[in-house]
Amino acid sequence: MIATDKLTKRYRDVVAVSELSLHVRRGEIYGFLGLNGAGKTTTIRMLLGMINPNDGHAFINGKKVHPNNTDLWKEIGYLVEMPYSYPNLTVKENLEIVRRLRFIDNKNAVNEIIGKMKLNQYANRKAKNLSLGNAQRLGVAKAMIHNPSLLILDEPANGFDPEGIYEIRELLTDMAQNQGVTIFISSHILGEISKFANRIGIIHNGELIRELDSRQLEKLCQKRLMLDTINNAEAMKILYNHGFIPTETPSQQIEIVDTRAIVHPETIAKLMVENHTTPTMLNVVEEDLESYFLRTIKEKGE
Amino acid sequence: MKTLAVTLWAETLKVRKSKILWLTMLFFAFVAMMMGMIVFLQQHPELTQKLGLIGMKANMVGMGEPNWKNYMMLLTQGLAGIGLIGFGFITSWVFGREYTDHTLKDLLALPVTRTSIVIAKMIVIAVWSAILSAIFLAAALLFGKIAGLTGWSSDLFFSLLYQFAMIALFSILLCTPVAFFASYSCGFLLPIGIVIITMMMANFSGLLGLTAYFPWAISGLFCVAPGTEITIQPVSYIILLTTSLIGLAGTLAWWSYADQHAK
Repeated sequence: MIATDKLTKRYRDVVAVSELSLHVRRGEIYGFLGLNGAGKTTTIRMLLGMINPNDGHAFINGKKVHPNNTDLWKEIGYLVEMPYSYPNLTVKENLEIVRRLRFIDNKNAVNEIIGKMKLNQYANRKAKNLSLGNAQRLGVAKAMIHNPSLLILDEPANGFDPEGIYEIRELLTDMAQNQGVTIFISSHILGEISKFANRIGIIHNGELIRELDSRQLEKLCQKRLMLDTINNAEAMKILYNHGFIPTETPSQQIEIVDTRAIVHPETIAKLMVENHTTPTMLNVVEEDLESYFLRTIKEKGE
Repeated sequence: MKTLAVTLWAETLKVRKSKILWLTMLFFAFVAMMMGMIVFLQQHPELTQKLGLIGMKANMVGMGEPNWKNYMMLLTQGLAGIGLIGFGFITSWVFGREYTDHTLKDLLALPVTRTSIVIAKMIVIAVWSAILSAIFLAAALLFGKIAGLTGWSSDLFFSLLYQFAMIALFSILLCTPVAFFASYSCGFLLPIGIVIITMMMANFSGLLGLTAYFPWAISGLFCVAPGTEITIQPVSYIILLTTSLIGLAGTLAWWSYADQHAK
């Protein structure tokens, strides 16, 4: 559905995006992760024909992305950074403009998307008087009004409260699973992406440093055993003597990444009890996406 | 054609729902009223002292004998001035607002071409400017009538109408470079600055005897009294049209090919 081939954007000496090659399959929810300034928005703008790449190409549905390829945009809905609307126009008028510019024949499309995005009570309110969350809903409504087969969303969760984030997540999941809509989504709420993306791409300093599916992610996310005892200094010595390499965390707990300890934490408990350093806490912790992401970019930096 | 129709509809709605439309109409009617007041004060010199600065200004204008002929000359000069400024301002707004309201990015990946959006904006600016010119003319004639000017004739009126139409047309044609600078600078300030600078340079070109060759001064040549040494030259039309086309081509190219980083 989306394919980029060594997509590159340079600004004088700064390389914003470097030889980015990614592939998004039909019906997939692709999470695009990166720190601020990593190149996410530049990539999205190149996918939408707003920025011309210096090198490489982007293809959507097999067609080369070009600003004047208007047929291409019929099937695409998008939201880039913070959504804004014409402040002096009402929610309905803003959506009516999009309906007409997208040649949607169904005159009821505006009311339908207003209902879907729960904007009914604000339909006749001017955009300038909307709360941040409702302005965001209007932005998402503009992106979805034509039932696109591809949604490109840049940080769509910005401005939403937790309930709004949940609703959007459910809506996007439903669109992908039941309507076959492909979703390319960037977000700084990294844990949020892990809840519903099928695949994840991590971009850092303009380079795609890792691309993986959600099952791979589970395997790659590190597990570790967290331990607290009545005498941690003594416990550390015992663990060393038994071939483990424990480390002390800033919260003065003991961390062990050895697979033997993670798979059989009861052996560690037994070892501690036998050596009179009774455990007060023993917990196998799985690394979340955020930690994995930070570890990945740190490794890349090193 | 369908593309242009929908973009035109969208651009018209944006303007219809803005306060700027009504404010510019009021402004043009107000300037016409001020011109009517000037001619009224010239007819009633005893009032000028009582009105202080306004009265002094009325005396300074020096339009000659207060009759329809001289008043109409004053009106053409008025339109040449506020046309360039007023139409330039609305052009800055029509293009610049997409950047300051952060709505531009929503116009860039649609089934309608970016060219059609630019053309629709230009058409809206032209129609809006024409309406403002008509309001200015109608209001000025009304105030002239109220002032009780003498010497009206239909020939005089049609001659004024022609001059008005040409000045308005020339001023509208010069909106395209303003549109380019609004797009290039992503806002209002630079294009409005350009409008002010071109106005100053238009006056300066008069001092150098280059009025017929400086695009922003050419419309002023329709305001000069018959028999004046400086007249519009055939090359003036070419210069003005070329400037307009360069502005249009620049705006279309900017929208079509430049990197769009607007938030």
